[in-house]
Amino acid sequence: MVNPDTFKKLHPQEFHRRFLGKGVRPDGREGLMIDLLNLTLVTPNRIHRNCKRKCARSNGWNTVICGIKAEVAVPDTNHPTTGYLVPNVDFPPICGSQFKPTAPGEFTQSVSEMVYRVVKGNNILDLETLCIEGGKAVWVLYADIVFLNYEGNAVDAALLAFTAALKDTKLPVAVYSDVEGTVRADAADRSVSLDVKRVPFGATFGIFEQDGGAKMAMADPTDEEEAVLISSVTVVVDGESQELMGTFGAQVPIDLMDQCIGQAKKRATAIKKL
Amino acid sequence: MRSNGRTDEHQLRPLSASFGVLSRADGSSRFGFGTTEVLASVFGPKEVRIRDEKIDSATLQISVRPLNGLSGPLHRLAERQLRDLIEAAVLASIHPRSAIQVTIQVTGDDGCFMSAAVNAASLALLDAGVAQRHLLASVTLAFDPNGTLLLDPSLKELETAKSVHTFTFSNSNDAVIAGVSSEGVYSQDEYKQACTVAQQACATIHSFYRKTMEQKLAPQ
Repeated sequence: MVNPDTFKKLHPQEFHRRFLGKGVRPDGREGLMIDLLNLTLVTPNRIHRNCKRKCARSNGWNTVICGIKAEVAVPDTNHPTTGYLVPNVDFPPICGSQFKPTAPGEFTQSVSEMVYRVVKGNNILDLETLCIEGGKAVWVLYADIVFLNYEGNAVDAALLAFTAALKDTKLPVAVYSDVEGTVRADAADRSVSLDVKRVPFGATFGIFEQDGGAKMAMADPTDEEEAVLISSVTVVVDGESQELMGTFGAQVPIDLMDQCIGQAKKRATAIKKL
Repeated sequence: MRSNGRTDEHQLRPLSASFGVLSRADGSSRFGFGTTEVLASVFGPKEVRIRDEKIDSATLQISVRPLNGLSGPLHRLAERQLRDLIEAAVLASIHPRSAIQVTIQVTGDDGCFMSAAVNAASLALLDAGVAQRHLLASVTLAFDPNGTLLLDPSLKELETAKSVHTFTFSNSNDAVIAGVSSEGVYSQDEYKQACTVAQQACATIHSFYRKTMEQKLAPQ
């Protein structure tokens, strides 16, 4: 008799197939069902005076920290009154053994790009509100999303941390002086909250192929599960309007995709209450 | 009337495709939607670096090169999406401990380069004689500010688009979305509408592949 841990190491695919055949997952969750996340949002002490930080723990496994840093910059000449919102996702070696202290690889850059595509343009925030003086000075908000523990499902966790941090951000009142050509602001007086229009929630589903080729979806896959999946689907839903803000995926039957979208909407409603 | 003289919202730009355009590659192709053109080359099965070696299948090495400037996160995401698509299509398990290298060079960009890249890659793999389960066809669609669905939008149309959707379907089973990438803000109904139109457009592209191949193989 092989012990379960050995069996899991030797035949990961078969290990998961036996669980999923009975409608449960190795960690006790059920297939397409999404249970409410064990989500805690923590605001740690301010570390940098320009930084507002927020920490989101999703599912008790992923730990993500997101810092929003505000700087002043000259706007684009084609869009003189729009500010910038620049998200960046980082997986330092501390968050998992698969990440090395080298330049960001394909995975890191592609997660960053997915988050950027969800938040770009005026999707989340009216970028005109970041204008200090048309053609002269605008706010640039750098959102640095850093993983401290990574256990699968990067996009959902990154978006959650990003949204939480953005809602928490307060900017000082900034005044542009035409004479000196400088921007003055009182760092102690932070009174301008951001007008966050949309709240993007990501819901990722792993697509698993069972015996006979039938495909099933499992919500919020762990990194162990990600290794045995044929593909995954991420649906981003706006928690405010229930509109979709992004779908990324492969190898998914059209009807299964519809189910995933339905589940994602339910999840967005559930998380919004938290 | 749309840009590039098209008259219908659901009209593709003129398609172009050619095989064997590079002499040193094992397989190569050029695919274009109008002036958006992409060159794809395939080398393989070839020797693999030891750290990338897989004992039960070939390793896919994908690289996407931009038209100008440096490649960035946009291209890494394109590579990841292409790998997902090609991994499902290529029978990698018949060439264990080897590498299949696919390189995409954008040679003209007037919108929808990702779709052109998928199509070019699929044709280059076909030209190289790499065994595949199916051929892939990809199209991009966009909703304009009035909510009209535009097939195969140009850069100008993409600039003002409310949402942009790139769909890929295989010629073996069009009930399964081989790949999807949507951005912008849209409703579930809009998504479904885009999916249906994409399904039909991909069928058009598949028949275009067949016609191009027949022309290539026809006796002179």
